[in-house]
Amino acid sequence: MSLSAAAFWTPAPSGTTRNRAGWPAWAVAGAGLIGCTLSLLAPILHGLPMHPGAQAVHAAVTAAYVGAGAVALVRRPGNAVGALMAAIGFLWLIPDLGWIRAPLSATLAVTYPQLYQPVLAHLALGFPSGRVTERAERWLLGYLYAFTLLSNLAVAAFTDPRADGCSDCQRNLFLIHSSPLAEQRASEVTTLVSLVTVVATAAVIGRHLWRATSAGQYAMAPVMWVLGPAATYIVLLQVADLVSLPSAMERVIRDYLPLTLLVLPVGFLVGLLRIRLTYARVGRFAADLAGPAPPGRVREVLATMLHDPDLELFYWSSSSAAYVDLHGNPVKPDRVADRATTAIDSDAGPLALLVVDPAVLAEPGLVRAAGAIAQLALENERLQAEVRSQLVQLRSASARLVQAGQEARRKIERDLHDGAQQRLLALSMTLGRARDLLGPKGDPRMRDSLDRAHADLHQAIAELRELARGIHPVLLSQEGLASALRALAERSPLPVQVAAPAERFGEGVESTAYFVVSEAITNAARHSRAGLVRVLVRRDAGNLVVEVSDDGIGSASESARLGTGLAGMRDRVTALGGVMSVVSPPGQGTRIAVRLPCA
Amino acid sequence: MRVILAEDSPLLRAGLVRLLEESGLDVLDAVSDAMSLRAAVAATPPDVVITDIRMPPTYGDEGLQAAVDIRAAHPTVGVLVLSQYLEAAYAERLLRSDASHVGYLLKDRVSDAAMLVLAAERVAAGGCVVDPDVVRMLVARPRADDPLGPLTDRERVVLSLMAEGWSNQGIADRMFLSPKTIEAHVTAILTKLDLRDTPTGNRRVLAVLRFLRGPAPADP
Repeated sequence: MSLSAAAFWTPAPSGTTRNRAGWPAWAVAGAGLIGCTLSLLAPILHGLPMHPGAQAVHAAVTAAYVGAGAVALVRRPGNAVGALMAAIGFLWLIPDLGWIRAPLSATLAVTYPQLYQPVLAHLALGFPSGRVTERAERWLLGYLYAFTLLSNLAVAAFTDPRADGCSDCQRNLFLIHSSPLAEQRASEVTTLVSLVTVVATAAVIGRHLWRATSAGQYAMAPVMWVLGPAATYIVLLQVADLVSLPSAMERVIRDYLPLTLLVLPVGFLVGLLRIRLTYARVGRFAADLAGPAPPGRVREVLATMLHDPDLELFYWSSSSAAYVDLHGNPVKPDRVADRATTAIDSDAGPLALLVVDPAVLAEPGLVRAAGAIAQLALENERLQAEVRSQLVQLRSASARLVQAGQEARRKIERDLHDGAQQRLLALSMTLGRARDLLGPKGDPRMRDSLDRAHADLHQAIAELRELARGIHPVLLSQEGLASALRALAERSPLPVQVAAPAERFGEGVESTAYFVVSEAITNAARHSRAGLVRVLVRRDAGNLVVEVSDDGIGSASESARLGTGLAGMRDRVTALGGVMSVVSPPGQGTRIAVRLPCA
Repeated sequence: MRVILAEDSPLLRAGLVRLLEESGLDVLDAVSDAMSLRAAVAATPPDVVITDIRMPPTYGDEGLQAAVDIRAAHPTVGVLVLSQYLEAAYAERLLRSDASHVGYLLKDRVSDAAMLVLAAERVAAGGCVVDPDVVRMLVARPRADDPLGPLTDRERVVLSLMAEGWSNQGIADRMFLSPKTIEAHVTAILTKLDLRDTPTGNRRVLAVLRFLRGPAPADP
């Protein structure tokens, strides 16, 4: 089985990529480990031991993000999520640079302790594909990066750590003008703008989640979980900068609330675990598909397995060389707009087309596994869809045949009218003139011959008229079914009562209904010994229903008595997608009912 | 008597013109479609129009439609429709408006110049003509509860002639009976058929035709 994905993220074949992706992941993990260790050891080395709980939380954030990032780099090479998470983990350690006694590290530690925040927003908006596609969201990210870099720089420009006579303090490399007042003003403005920015960013991420499809939301679950807690933490951090809080509360905010940030990497790892569990349950899904299943079962199982309730499944029809749905109708291209498609092929050729949420394809292995276990059932359903597709074609072909037959009848009727009938009428006119010219004194034998010829011709004209009428009654196309059936009753060899609405039903339907009645009356007159035929025409829920019942001897169901005419009518009714039933119990008359779909 | 003829078959048109002229009628114009017919009648209203039903451009029932329109626009012009169709529905449609100055004759009648000319004269004089074959079909049709059952054979003949558009005097002439006898027959027929409120004159023809056709299928 091969898999081709038209999604925004095309996975590479797994084996080789995983090996190549190995070294950056290991490098990241190693660097993270060293960073965490140094962060834990630094206070002790400097003889300034900190509260162990606070230290543990601080290191845990880096460990979680770098660890999850390394896993992501292995599992989803080429996806930016891993790099973003690792970046957050490392940027989180910026304040620890202060332990290094050098102007540059001290300056960075003081100026950019919150540089991880725009990256966190970047991760949230790009999860799980690693790409931010929407224009407004890209603008927001650009603003966030620029704002974080520049606003902290603006504050730093006026901050002089040595101003209060702290000779031990490292020099601020960004210092332009030492001014505590300017520093305080810049800091206040920056913090206020930050507050607004955080709330706005949280709102944009919330909207991003809200607008995602259900499969997308499923994939974004870690972001959904982290959004509230992390936003709260960051807002409280700004509040703590602005106003002086009780020291215990400030300690909780600064030292322990970072725990909220752990939700995302942990959630990501849980998500991977869940996918692992789904793999483990593949066997159960396979069991669901074993044995005879109702149509559409494969789709249900795949939708459950891939967590996409809107998943659509189309089957390859080799006869129409196109993907068709369960009913055999070809797939329309607009059905797959905004959706990702993935083809499932067997060795013999294309099998099916999965139309899924793009988020589903973030786990291509699972899609492959789903395709593999569904293959047999799919082949089964595909064959069914193929048969149905052929049935659809067959039905439209027979409907075209009926149409063509009808056009042929009209043409014959027209040709008779314009040709033979006109010639015979002209001939009878000439003959009549000859008779008139002969006059009462002419040869009586001649007169007798002319009279006989005239009578024969009159008969021939009448027979030809009825023949043309039987091929295609002009009244039917001119005035409709009710009028044509009434005229049929007027020339019927036995009493016929007609009840029919005056409305029109479409040419093919009217014509078929008319000839069914005509054949039924002919049959009744021939075999049934009926005294009365009742014809009832009505419209019923998009169908034209025609019932012809007689009070004859019944037993007309046997094919010999049904007559070839009516048997032919049954074919014609079926070709138009209708049904015809004949009920004819002995001694209880015959009832022929036809149901024809009509507009 | 002045005639305008509409017939799309050149063979029949030429034959009919000769037939009508040899019978002493004045053929003002012979056209091949309904539109030219309307124009010709509007230009010079004749005493009678003789028209085919199925003509260009649609080869449907434009001749019949033109006949109805001409009757409405020119009350003094009679219209005799020569039809290829043995259809009571078309005859009834033609008579529906006022049933005077109109006739529905099968095209078969072209073999009988005298009958054709007589029908044209009856129509021009304000009468109403229905082809005997149409009437015969309706009278002979089998019925479940035959309303014509109580009629005697002679009454049936009188009823048929009524449906063909003949007046009491016309029926009397054709049956070699006195108008008084015919009047008695007519009264008896109308009573037996429960048609006592039937109007006289040409309206009687439409009433009898409708009775013979029975209720329309759309009626309950």
